[in-house]
Amino acid sequence: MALTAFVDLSTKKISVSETPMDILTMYLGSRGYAAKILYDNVGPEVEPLSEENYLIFSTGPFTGTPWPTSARYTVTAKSPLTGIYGYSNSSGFFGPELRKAGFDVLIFTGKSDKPVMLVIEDASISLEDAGELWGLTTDKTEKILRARYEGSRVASIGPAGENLVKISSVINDYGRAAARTGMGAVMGYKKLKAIVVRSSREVPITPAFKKIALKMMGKTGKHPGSKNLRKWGTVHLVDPKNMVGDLPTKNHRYGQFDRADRINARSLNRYLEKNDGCFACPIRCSRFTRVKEGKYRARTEGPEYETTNAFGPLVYNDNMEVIIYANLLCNRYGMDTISTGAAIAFAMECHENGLLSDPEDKISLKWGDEDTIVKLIEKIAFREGIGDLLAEGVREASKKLGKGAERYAMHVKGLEMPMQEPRVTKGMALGHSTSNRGADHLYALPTIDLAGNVEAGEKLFPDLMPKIMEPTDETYKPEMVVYTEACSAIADSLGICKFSTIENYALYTEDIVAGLNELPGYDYDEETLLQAGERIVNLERMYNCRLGLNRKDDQLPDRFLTEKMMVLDIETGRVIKDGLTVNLRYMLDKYYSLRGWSKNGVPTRAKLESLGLGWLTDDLRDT
Amino acid sequence: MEITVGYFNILKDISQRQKEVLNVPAGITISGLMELIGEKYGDSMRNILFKNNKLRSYVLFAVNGRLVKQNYRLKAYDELYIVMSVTGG
Repeated sequence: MALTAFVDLSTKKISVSETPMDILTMYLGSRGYAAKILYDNVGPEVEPLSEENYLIFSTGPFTGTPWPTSARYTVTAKSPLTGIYGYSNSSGFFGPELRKAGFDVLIFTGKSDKPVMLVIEDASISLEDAGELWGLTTDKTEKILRARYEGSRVASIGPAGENLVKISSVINDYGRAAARTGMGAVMGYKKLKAIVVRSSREVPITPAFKKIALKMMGKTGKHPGSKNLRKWGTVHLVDPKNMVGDLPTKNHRYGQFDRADRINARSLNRYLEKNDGCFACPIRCSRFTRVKEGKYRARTEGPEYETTNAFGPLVYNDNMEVIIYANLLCNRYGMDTISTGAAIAFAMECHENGLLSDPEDKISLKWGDEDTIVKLIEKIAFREGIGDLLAEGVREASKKLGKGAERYAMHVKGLEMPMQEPRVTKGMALGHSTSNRGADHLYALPTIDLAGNVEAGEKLFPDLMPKIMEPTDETYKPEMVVYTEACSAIADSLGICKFSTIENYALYTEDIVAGLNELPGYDYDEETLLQAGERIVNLERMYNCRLGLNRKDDQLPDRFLTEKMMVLDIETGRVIKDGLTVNLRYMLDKYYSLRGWSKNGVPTRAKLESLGLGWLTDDLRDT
Repeated sequence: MEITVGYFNILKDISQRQKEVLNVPAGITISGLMELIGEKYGDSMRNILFKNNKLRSYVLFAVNGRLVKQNYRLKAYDELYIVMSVTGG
């Protein structure tokens, strides 16, 4: 039996009911099911920072089970950063603990008149005063609550969420972030400081499920991609990305960084304390690091690749200690490291072009200035000075600045660009543009070509080989993105990590189906599972279409379409290729056609009905 | 013996070809072949494939659609793809 808790923060009333299994299984769980709840309850008229917005914490049917990488949960709301469909996704141990306590879904609505926290102890659920915690960083909050509720897991916000910073995150297990689209600000608006969960139970599973899960655990752990992640962590990407021009530098102006060897995996290893992993993970890609002395003294989980690039090449910094410290600060204040790095890079490029003067308190906005990077993180978290502008995210900040600042705002649909270079990774270019939560490498994670995964290419796209494997060739990228968007929705909705699925294809859909069908209420084959992924993508698309979004919003920043990029031999400086831009029009035309959407990027009535989404057709504004 | 070598990503840009047929010594290992390819296409190719005379960890090899290690001994008519493993982030 799955339970949903509905928490009205205005009245402090909590009601618990059985989750309707027919709807839950149709949308798989977690991200997919939360999208359905959001669509039904948070309409176009609802402001993101309002009592009417929902804040949904949801787990998947695999979360908390022995299935490999089953640690994930989703936080969903209408995004205060983008104004559209928003969600973020985190790992660690909080999600499994929530599911062990028996809850699949927590729905928060309303707004508390004072800071509160939700405390769950198995079947017991209550709102408690959190006044003494308000203003504390996430690490201090978690430390206090874990001591008070021994054996518990905690998800909380820091000062950034409390200050309604639009790029704020929710942090669990000290260093795990549900980071993207500003979910921390929604939590802060509602005066919900934390969720504490403690369970004495396990997620009920059958022996048959356990047998399959353990087999998949072995398969995932032995995969060469998993071994690489275990040995080096995600920061191992720095060197190869730099070689191929996929290391965004100076706010995406370039794709290569002349000092990448100072921020690569070997450099990070100098600060490595231990490798670790999330709940039920055989990959164990996490790296705990420590800077023992100096002004950037820090001890933290991470940084991951995205954070390393965001506070490294993107802002033209080559000091690994600053990157580690920036990672720690973002976790403590509860901020998205991708969006924060992007906001700082935006400010630096605006400064370089005379659109932003040095702030009043003598910090410089020069590229790579270490003190600036650190101080700007704090200023954004507390909305001080220029930080108040950047706390709105780069889209709004550029509008307020005017004078053409929009050309330096690297975002799609208001969400800051992650650390891929679209001009050399055309699948990512398309994936960033079509993502329904804004620029996002994880919404599609089209990596078959980037990883050089010939095995997956031969298995999934035999007729499109070898051309589909060429990262800079747009021809078959729409086919790849349509497929991987469905797979990504499946992974997020089941509560598992993409590092076990579409990052390296340790597990394919047939592996997932074998386990899923051993869970009560689920009956899928490979085709219908992929259709469920497609259903979720279409539902999320319709959420945005109902708000008036269409093709005009599936656009990349102009930089990637018009500013030609070159890739150099990093040893000799010789030009290997030049003139790279993105032919987005071609890819969008083909993508919409493959999806069965209109040329304007809106699902058709026929497509919606074929996916069991006929109930959405009244909301269609485009034919 | 005759084998086919395929190039992706920046390796294709340097070699200026997607595929080529090469005549190589019978029983040559992948690492031995990479020495030959490094010589054939010069410094830029060698810089991608090697660091300090060792094959870089993120250069991978697929023979007839299956990943193999650098000590794999090639057979006549094998189809080898040299790939850069970059993935997503």
